[in-house]
Amino acid sequence: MKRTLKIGFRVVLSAIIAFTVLEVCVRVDDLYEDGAPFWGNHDIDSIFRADVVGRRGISNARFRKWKLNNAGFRGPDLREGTVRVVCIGASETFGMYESEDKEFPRQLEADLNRSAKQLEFEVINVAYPGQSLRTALRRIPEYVDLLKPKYGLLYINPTAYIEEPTKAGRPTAPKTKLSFRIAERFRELAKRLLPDLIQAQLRARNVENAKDSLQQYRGTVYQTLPEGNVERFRSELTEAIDDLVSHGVFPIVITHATRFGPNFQYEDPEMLLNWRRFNPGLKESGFADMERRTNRVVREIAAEKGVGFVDAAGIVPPGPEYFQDFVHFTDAGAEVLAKQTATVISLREQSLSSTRLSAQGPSAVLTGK
Amino acid sequence: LLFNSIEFVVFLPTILALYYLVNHRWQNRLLLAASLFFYGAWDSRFLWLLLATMVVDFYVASHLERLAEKGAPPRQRKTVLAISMAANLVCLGFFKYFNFFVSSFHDLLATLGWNTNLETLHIILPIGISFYTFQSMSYTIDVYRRELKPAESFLDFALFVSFFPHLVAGPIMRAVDLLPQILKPRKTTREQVRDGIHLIVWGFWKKVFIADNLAPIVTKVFSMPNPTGLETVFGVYAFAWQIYCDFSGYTDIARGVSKLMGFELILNFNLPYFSTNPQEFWTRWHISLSSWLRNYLYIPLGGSRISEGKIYRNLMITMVLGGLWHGAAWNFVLWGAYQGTLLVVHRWSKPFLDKLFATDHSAVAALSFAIRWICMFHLICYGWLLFRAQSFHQIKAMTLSLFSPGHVDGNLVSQVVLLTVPLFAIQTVQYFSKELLFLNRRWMLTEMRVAFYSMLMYMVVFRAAEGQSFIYFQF
Repeated sequence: MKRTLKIGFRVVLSAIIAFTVLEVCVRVDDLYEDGAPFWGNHDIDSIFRADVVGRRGISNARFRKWKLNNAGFRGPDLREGTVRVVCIGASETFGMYESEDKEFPRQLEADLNRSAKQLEFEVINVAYPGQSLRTALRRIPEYVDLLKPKYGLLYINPTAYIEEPTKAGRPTAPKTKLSFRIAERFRELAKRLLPDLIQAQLRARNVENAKDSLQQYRGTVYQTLPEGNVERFRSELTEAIDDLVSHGVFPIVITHATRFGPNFQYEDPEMLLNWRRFNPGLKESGFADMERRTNRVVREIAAEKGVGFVDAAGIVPPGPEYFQDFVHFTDAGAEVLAKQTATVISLREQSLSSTRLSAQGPSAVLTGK
Repeated sequence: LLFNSIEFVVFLPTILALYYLVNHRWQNRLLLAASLFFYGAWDSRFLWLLLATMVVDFYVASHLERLAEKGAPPRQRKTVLAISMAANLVCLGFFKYFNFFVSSFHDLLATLGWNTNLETLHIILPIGISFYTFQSMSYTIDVYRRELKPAESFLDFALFVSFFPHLVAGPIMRAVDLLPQILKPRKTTREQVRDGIHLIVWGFWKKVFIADNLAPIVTKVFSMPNPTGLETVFGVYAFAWQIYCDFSGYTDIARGVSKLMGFELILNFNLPYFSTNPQEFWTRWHISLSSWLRNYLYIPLGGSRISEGKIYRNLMITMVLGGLWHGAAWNFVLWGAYQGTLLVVHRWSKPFLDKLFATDHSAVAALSFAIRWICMFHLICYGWLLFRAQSFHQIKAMTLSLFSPGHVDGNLVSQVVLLTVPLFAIQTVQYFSKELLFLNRRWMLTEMRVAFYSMLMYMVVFRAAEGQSFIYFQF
C-alpha cells in the first residue's frame, strides 16, 4: 500500500514537472520568436491595445505569422517615395488563414508592382480583426495624416450592423487571464494530426454546442436585418467615402464576399451556423438577405459617388477553395480579390496618365456607374 | 514507415503492448510480422527481394553446415558460399550500381571518342538494401568460418535479417551478436526501459530538431552558385552536424526501441567528432560498418600482418569500397579515397606524431589534444564537403572559395551556432564523463530526467522543421 502510494506520488509529481517544463518551454519560445511577455497572455489579441477610438496595433508586435510594422499595421515597415494604398476593413482584410504574405493586401501590392512600369506601390493593411466601419471612420484622419495615401480601399463586413452601436467607453487594458499556452499548442497539434473521422466527430460536437449556446442567447434576434441598420451602414459608408475624398484620397469600395456565393448556396450548412455563433442577433436565414442588401448599398454608393468599385461578392467564387470559413479567404480567394483590385487601380492610373483626368472622373468601367 | 512519422507513433506502442502480452515464441513471430509490415509499408514489391535474400542465405548457411559436418573439402564449401555472395552482390549491384556503371562506362567511351547508345534503366533503390544485404552476408560468412551455428528455424533467421528497428538504416548487426538474442527468451529489465527511453528521446531530438532544422541551411549553401569561403565553412559545419544527428539519431532510436523489447544492438556512434586522428574516427563513426569492413574485407585482404605497402593498399581498397557503399556516385568514391588517404598518412606519420605530442605536462597535453581535435574535425568536415557536393565542379568551386573568406549572412551563422552549440556542449559532458547515457547516472533523479525529456520533446514536437527523410535511407 505504502509502495503504491509512493509510486502514485512520483507519477503525479513527474506529470506536474513535465507540464511545468513544457509550459516554460512555450513561454521561452514565444519570447524568443515573437518577443512575447513571459508572463501574461500571448494570443492574437496581445498584438493590439485599446485607445479612445478602439483597437489599434502595437508597434512591431508579433504573434506567429501575424507581424505588425513599426506603425502598428500588419505588413512590412513603411517606405518612402511610394504610391500608397490603404486597406480599411476587418479580419478578412487583416488576413486570418492565408499563408504569411498571402493576405489580400500583400498580394495586391505584389500584383500592382508587377504591372507598374514606373511607380512603386505600397499597400498598407490598416485593418484589424473586429474593426467596424464606425471605428475606421474615426481613424481616417489619422491614416491620411500619417500615410498620405492615394487610394483608400473599403472592404466592410456588414455583420457589425446586426447589433446596435455601443457607445465608446474608456479604453481598457486586455485582461490577463490564466491560460496554459501548452494546452493550446496541443489542441492545434491534435487538430492537424487527428484522423478525419475523429475530427468530424469533434466538429459535430462543436455544432451541437453552437446550437445550445444560440438557444441560450437572450438578446434580440432578428429574422432579417432591420432597415434602420442598413441605412446606418449606408450613411457611415457615405461618410467614409466623403471623408477620404475630402482628403484627396480616391476611394475604392468592395462588396463583401462570402463562402456561399451571390446565390447563398451552402455546400456545408454548418458553416452558416458557425458564422452565426459570432453574430447571434440574426437568424441564419437572415444572413443571405443582409449580404444582398448591404452589397446593393455598396454598388449604389459607388455609382452615385463615382468612386472605384470591385464586386468581390460577384468575382470570388464560392466554396472551400477560396474561403477557409464563412468569410475569411484562403490564399486563392485573396489572390482573386487582389488581382481584380489591382486591375481597377492600374486602369485608373492609366486613365489618369493618359487623359489627365481629375480624381473625380474615373471611367464608368472603374466605377459602379 | 519512418521513425519520425505519426504512423510510427501508433505502430510502436501497439507492437510493444502485444509484445509484452505473449510468450517468447509468439514474440518472435509478432516481431517478424511487424518487421515485414514496417518494410512493406514503404513498398510491398520489395518485400519479395528481402524474402529472396533471406531464403538464399538461410539455405546456403544450412548447406554449409551440413557440408562441414560431412567433412566436405573447403573448395566445395567455398563454392556454396560463393552462391550466397553472388546472389547478394548481384542484387545490390543491380539495384544500386547498375545505372552508375552504365553511365560511367558511357562517359568513358565518350571521352575516348566512341559514342554509344547505352541506356540506363529506371530502377528504384530498395530502401535499406545496403544494410540488410551486408547483414545477411555476414551470417553466411560466419557460418562458413564456423564462428556461428546456422539458425534452425527460418522464421528466426528471417527476424534476424528483418528486425524492424535496424532494418533500413542499421546498425549492421553480426549474426553472432543478434541471433542468440532472438533464440533465447528475453526479459526487458528496468535499466533497459530507462536507457531505451533515453535513447529514443535523445535520438528524436537529434534527428527531428537538430538535423531537420539544419537541412534547409545546408541545402541553401550547397545550392549557391558561388558561395563565399565563410558560407562554405558554415554550410559544411551545418552538414557535418546534420549528417551526424540524422544518422546517429536513427541509430539511437533503433537501439532504444530494441532495448524496450529486451534486445541490445551495438553502439554505432561514439562521439565521432571528438576524434583526434582518422583511425580513432573510424572506431567512433558508423562503428557497425567499419567493423563489417574490417572483419569481412580488410582482414581477409591481409589485415595489418603484411608489409606496410600492402597495408596502405588494403586501407585504400577498404575505404574506397566503403565510400562506394554509401552511394553510386563518384563523389562517394572520392570521399572513400580521401578517408583512405587520411588513414594511410596517419599510419605513416604516427611514430612522428606520437613523439611530437608526447608530454607529461597536463596543460601541454590538453593543448595538444585541442590542436589534434580541431585539425581532425576540420579534416572530417572537408570530407563532408566531398560527400555532399553534387559534382566535381562544385567540389572545386567550394574548395577554392575556402581561400577567400568573403562575407556570410549573420542569420545563417546564428542558426548554425544556435542549433549545434547546445549539442556540442552536451557531447563535451558525455566525452569527459565517459558516459553516453548521461542522464542515467545514479544520482540523477527520475524527476530531473522527466524535466529534461520534456524539454527535448517540446523541441521535437513543436520546433521541428519540415519532416525530412533519413539521409542514410538512400544508401
